[in-house]
Amino acid sequence: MNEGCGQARVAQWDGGVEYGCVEETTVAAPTTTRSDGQSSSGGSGGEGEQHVQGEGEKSTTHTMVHFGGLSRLYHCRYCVALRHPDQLAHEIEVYYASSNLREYKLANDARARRCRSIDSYACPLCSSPLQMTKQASPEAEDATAALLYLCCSYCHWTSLGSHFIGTEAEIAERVTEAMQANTHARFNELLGHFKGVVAEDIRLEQHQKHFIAAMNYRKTRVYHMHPVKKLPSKAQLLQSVRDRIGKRYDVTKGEWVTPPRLKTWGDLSTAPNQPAQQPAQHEFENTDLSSVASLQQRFEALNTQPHFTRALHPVFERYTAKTSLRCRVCQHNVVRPELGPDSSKFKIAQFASNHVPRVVILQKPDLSSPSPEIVLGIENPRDYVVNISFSLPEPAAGNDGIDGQEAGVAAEQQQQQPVEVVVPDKPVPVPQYEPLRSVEDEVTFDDDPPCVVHRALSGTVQIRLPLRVNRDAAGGDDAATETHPEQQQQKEPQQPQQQRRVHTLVNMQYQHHVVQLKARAHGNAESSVVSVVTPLRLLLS
Amino acid sequence: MDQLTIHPTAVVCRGAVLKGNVTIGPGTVVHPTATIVAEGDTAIDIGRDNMIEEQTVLRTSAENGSGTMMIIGDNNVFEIGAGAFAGTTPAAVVALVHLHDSTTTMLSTAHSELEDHTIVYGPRNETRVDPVHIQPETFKEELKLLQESLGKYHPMIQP
Repeated sequence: MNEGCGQARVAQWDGGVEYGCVEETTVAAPTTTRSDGQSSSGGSGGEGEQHVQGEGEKSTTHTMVHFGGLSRLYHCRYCVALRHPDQLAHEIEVYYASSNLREYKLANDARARRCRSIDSYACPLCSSPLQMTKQASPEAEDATAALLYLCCSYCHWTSLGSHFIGTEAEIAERVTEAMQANTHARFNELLGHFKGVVAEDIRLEQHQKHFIAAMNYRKTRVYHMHPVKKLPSKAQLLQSVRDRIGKRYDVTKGEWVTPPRLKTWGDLSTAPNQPAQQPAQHEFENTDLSSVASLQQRFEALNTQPHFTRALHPVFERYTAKTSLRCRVCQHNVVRPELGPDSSKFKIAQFASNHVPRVVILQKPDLSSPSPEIVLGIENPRDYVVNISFSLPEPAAGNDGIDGQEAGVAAEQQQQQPVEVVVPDKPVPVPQYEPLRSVEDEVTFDDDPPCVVHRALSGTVQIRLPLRVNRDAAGGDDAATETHPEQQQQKEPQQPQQQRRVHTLVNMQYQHHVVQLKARAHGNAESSVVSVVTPLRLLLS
Repeated sequence: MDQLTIHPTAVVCRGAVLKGNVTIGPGTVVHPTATIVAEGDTAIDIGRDNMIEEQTVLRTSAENGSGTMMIIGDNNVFEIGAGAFAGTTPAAVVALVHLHDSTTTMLSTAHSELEDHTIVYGPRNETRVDPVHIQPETFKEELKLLQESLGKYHPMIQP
């Protein structure tokens, strides 16, 4: 768990809500069925956090789910669960060329074209889409007679130096020729060899079938007895056998023939070309690397693979695919795009961030004060009221017998947790999100728990959670919380590396989702507290 | 000390940062948020009919000697996010450094250390010389349109 995870997690209330962390998901464990004692180890420093990660791998079935924040997750409305992209089946719907959004191809058509467009081109240097530009010719008065050439708007490559100039049909024809050109004699030699091998095999097979049929026919016939010929002598037999060496009986001709000699694989496998001599140093000195084609550029021109960029030719642009996402659990489509490439609708209901309440820290706690507290803002993105309940992670005493020893250690660590959050007993109702509601409209809930500070706008609640600081457990640098604040401020910049980190956990549950809040305090208690919000439903499913 | 010289026909938008000894030639269009800074006693001399687009940085410094001068010829295009820095060597060498992830293009003319029709592009500053390259007609039309009409819709730095 790198230290960078905790950075930049302080969410701002003014819309800049940030969620999630890649690494913390490994720590997250189910709160209702399993203990979170290990995650509340309250470890100080990096060692404790690594220990937590190791236990998370053991205790959860879907460990090491790396999702880069809540914004990358999807919501399956049939399973009513959050889905990671890895939990979805990606299916290609249509192919389209990025420079021509009016047309799209289905899979069969695209494969027939080898996933390349028909009328749009890609730059041979940078693979950007090329534009057809009219060549400026003052002599040509008729606009239709102006010649066209290809121009890259990114690297400014043009086809003016090559023969890819003319009408659209001429350019398309020349590009097709260039892509089908094959200048490799050795490849042609191999191709001809294998074609000959295949043709010979087919011919032999047909002859064999014909021979077997002829033999079967002869078996059905009754032949008259013929006078026995005089048997050949031994020398004649030997001579006839010698004549047949290396020959094959041709049924159609009724005689022994010499088969045509094919090149053996041994002949072909000997490389005719000697390896190139290593160039001398002075040859390198005068080499202009900008004129030498890179590997990527040669891969784009597989047929010719020129050494120099001046021999590169434009190619047809590759198709881009639009994919649909299907839930692997219920087999329903989570995201199904429109077929037309130019009609991509943004469906917010598919994204997980529109289903999970957003939590931000509005006020950092001052742990040095006698009664520290943290103020959280919760925003409900749904259009109905949700009740959010808070709970502390259960102690590890009731954990599995297998991990009993570790659980005991974790429970001990939890007892020594430097900072604990006093969670409210009753669930906090958060009203629905109503974008049309006026700011002046008041939302009143009679059963507001005392922790609710304010209900700002529709769908927004601010709550205050007291913190309990266990100063004995903090230890070390955390004991500095009792020192004078001015001394701390002088001490902090001198020893930034030695700051110890403590964190505490709160589980926030609403409906079927469990969200874990991890408040992390840096060393001496006055520095900032960072929250990490992890939707645990992902791991439970 | 600082001497800013702008030709009357040049179009320099307010919002562009011009510091030091900077000379802007006739017909050159400088978009807002472009930065042209000549530190100390260095100088930047920009020729005729250049296009300097947004977020472009042209900077000279006197790190390795005073009197560094960046000379930009005629008909150059600095696309969005381009950068040209001089002063790392005593001679007036123009080193193009790519900024951000956009195209850097420079079509230089005879006054520069770079050859004519030099094109610099891409994230790794691929540089090539394309003798047959010509500026498309659309660019010339764009430059002409900006020269004529940009002053009507945007506050200008008066010469």
